[in-house]
Amino acid sequence: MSTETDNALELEQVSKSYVGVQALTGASLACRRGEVHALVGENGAGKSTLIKIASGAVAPDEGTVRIAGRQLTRPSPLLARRLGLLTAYQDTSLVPGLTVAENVVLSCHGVAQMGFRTRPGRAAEMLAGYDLPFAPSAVVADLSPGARQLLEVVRALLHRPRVLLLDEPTAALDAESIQRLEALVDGALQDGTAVLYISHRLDEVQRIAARLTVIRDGRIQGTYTREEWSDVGNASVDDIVTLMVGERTDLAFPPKPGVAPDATVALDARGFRGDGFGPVALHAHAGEIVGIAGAEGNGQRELVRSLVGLRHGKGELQLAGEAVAIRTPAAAIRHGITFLSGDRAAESTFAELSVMENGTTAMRDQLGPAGLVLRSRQRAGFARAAQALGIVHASPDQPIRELSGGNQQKTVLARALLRPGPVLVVDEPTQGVDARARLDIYRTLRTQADDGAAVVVSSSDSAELEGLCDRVYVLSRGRVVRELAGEDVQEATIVDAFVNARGDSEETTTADGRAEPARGALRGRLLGSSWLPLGVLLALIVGLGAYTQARSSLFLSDANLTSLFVLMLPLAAVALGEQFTLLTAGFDISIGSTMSLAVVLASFWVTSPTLGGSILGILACLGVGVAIGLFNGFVIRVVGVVAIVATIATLGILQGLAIVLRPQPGGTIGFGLTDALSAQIGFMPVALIVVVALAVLAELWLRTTSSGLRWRATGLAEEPSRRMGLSVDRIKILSYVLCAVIAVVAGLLLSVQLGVGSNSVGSDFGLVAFTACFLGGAALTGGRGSFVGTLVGALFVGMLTNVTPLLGWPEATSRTAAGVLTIVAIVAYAATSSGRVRLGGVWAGRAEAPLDPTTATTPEAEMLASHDAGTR
Amino acid sequence: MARDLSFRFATRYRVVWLALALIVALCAVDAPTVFHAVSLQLVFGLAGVLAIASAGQLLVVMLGGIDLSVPAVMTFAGAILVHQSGGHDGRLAGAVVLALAVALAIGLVNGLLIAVVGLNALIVTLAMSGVVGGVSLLWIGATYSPSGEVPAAIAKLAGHDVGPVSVLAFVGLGVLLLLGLALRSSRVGRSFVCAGTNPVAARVLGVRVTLYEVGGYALAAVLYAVAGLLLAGLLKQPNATLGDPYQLGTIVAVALGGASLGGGPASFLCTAGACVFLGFVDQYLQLKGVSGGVSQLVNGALLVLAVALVAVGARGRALLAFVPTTLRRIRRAGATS
Repeated sequence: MSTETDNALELEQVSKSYVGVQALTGASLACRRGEVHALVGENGAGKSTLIKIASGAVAPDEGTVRIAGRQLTRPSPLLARRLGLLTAYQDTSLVPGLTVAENVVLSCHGVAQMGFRTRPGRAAEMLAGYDLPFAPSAVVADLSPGARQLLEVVRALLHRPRVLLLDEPTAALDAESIQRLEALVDGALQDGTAVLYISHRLDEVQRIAARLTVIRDGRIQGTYTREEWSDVGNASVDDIVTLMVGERTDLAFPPKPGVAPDATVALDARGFRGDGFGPVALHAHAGEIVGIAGAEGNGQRELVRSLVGLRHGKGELQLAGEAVAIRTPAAAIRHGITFLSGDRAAESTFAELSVMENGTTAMRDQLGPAGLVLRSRQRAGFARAAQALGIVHASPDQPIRELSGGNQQKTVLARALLRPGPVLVVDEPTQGVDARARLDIYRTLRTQADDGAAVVVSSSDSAELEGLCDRVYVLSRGRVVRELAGEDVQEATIVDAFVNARGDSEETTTADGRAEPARGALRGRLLGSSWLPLGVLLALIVGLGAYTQARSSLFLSDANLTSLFVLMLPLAAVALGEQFTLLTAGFDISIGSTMSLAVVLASFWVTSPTLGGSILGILACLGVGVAIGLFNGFVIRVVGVVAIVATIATLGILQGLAIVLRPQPGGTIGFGLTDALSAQIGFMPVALIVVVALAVLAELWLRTTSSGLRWRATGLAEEPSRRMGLSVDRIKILSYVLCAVIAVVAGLLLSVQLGVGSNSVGSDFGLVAFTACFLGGAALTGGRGSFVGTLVGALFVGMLTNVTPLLGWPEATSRTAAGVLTIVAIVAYAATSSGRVRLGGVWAGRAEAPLDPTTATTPEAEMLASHDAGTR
Repeated sequence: MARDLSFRFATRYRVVWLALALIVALCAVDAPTVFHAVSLQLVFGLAGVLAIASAGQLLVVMLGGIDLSVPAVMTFAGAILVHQSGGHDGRLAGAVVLALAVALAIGLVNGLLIAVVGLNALIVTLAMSGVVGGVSLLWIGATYSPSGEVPAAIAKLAGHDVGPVSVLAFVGLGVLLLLGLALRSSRVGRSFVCAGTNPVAARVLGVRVTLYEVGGYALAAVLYAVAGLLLAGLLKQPNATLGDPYQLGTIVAVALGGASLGGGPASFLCTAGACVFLGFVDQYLQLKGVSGGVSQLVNGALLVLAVALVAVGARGRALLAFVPTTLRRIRRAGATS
């Protein structure tokens, strides 16, 4: 171990490539204690790769990372945290479904004693000194983006890290919050923290950074002290910009013929605004290529998607002088707007379909009469486009995913070529595209403009906008800060416009959370709470009980209550087991057949007349449960098979095994187990008392302990949990093991009720166990529901079966009701959670296009972004 | 041309034909009685029923979902057939129309809850199977009619054989080829495939994704009902267990046929091949005299194998890396201690 040095973070000769694309080359960086070190660079320069390597999220190909003098020996976010490096991500690592206090407790993982109990009070104390504009009990999903970003930074600072990585910390902040943040950073410096500050905004960097490192195309361009660049004034800021931008590229862009003076305005938006941008005014003439520039995440993505109907945009929109309302992409297409997205995997390509299918999707009547698709015409159309664009492919039938990024993008472009329209909107036309293909793409876009289309291009590559566009709008924090035309359309001018954009987020982008009426938040909390389903259920149980008692006095008799409790016992147990998988966003449909197999196995192994003699057999059965759970966990988490399919297969295998072992009912369950599990106190089975006690314990574990909190976090949001260093896979596999073992226990409980081994007695428990869980408030998306709720759900389902004969209802009523109630429960859940979407504006519903930056920062997106840098 | 074909029939579509050849060879060597006309008629008859039901499951799988209501809808269709016709040929048509209409309604409810309300396909179809089973008992009961028999006409149709091949096999093949052709060569079909492969990209292109999703679930339910009606005809006295083998069966057939369970394009012809393969496997095991449990066990194991192969193919490198990194970790742990 090396001695303590002044350098709290050292990166030495770090390189990283993704599939042949060099994202970082020999990058070295040292960050001193008590100092802010700024890292600046253009979009895709390699900043995010550097952060990921430093924080242990990604393994470098070469080079070392040292935190406080100790080497990061393996890529592990947990190890990096233990060594004292904490990261505040731009898109945050908060779990939206948890409260502020719970998120703070969670952040202790790896860096501070979490303690056995969570004690939200302590989290509140920890936050007290920071004077935050939200309560510790607030749910993070209800906070504004700015508040979330502030919390993300504070949560890292709380632990007095040796190294603090701040990734674009001010992107969503207003002026007041920026000041607050800078004060916080100052405080941390006093404690000797080293801060690596990644930012696009040179004015901020100028204020707080002692040193500055410029990175371009994955290489460090140089490190400068404050004296070297900030005192001389603006001249040296220009030098920094030049360093960020680099040499002029020699790409031969097609000539700009200039827009005809009498050209009509094809697209005209005024006061156009939406979530994350605006209000903006922009227009495009026929024959003109208009660019939209800005640092990543400044509203360009949202603006473009609102223009084409993928997101909801408000304000005035005119096409060729005619006011239109565009609410869906279909409407945009009807009005002649074609949208081509550079986010190919998410929005434009059909990976499994052939390159020809992908290229010709926009063709309609041209493909054949009467809605037919004639292969000959498809081939001819595609051949024409492939020729014009130079799409390199082995066969028209080759799946598009096998093509290079450039050829994929050209194939997408073929759609516009084969079905030209008056307005063409292109987002990131050359992300992950090689230089050769870029030229073909630029040429095609220019040809479209020459043919009379108005082309709107949004790009994070300013050099590309310089070469391509007649006019450029520069966006910062969702507003147009600069409009450049003619000679001014230059990369340095564009970058200068957004790095020097001052000011802060407007009310429109941050107010949604803060301005939210208190009553709405309260309603949201109430509806989203786990206690609401419990309350509803208890009311239903009391109501149904009272009604039944009024019709038949037998209901509350000891004999009937005993029969009700005995009936619900195996169901309650198996549902509690399933709750563990649902909690971690898993799914296990094999529980019913696990129960059947347990009954069959018990009829072979648990036959002793004494409890002592049965112990080995019981343990053997539980061991089989562990094996089943491990098998499920392995196939799902390691092999990567969808949970439903994997557990359906397990269901088949286990059911088959049970039938093979006991083709006919047979064997006798020993009295040892039977007596133990059938004991009663009054009308109450002892086993049920134990199950209830365990459910309450599990509930306490879930609500009040740190390990319960980790399980909930894992279920609610996998990626943030991973960033906090939680062992997501281990927790999820463990949940399958717990579920299977508990299903075996449920099988044993069932076996003593039957007395013999029978091969399919568990199969009916599958659906009702889910019913009990969902009635108790669980959700397939994970992290929700409660064990007590599930128990009460099981009581209700058991009661339905119990009361039907007493009320003289047909037997099948309870079965029908179970199915209907399951649907009602999830509809109710969907209704309340979509209510939260409206209130919080966070949980993207099905209808919204994916826009969450967390979804975009996949390895692939990262690779594309780096590729972008590598080829420039 | 050969290269085009090699792309159109990717590896995942070839596996099933190899498997089919292997099982036929195994039967020829080890259990030649499989090829007796009576036995083949059974193999092809059941394969035909499975193919029709699997076509429905495949539509749902292509949309990225999974349908757990297959057995319930098939059983319900059989129950309606017996109950409404009372075994009389004169009331056959009405019973069939009613069964199909009920199935259509079930499928529409599934589709609306999934595509419009945005609920999870698993839970909706699982719950729906509970509702359908319960309603069937409430409406019709455990005994469908005094005789419990299907009308003679449909029994005759389903039991009809052309040589060693059951007419059901022709119906099944016809349904699958028709669907395959429609998806390949009509704009509606292409849009359906696009909506399943990448719903967002399809939406960008103006495809009304929700409509296709609802339609897919509705058509699937109708196909299950057709399969249930024909199977009832074959069994003559259907009961409440009619549909039971078809939950696992349809998913295995679809997975073996090379469909990706995450949604996207698939081959109906290969699914047909998978159904014939599963028919042979079942018949082979039957003739070997093993219990029905083994056949279910084999089905489950085949499913794991098929999907694991696809998963390994898709993320092969990640999996291959899993072994060495684990070994490294173990070695490092050993070194430090």
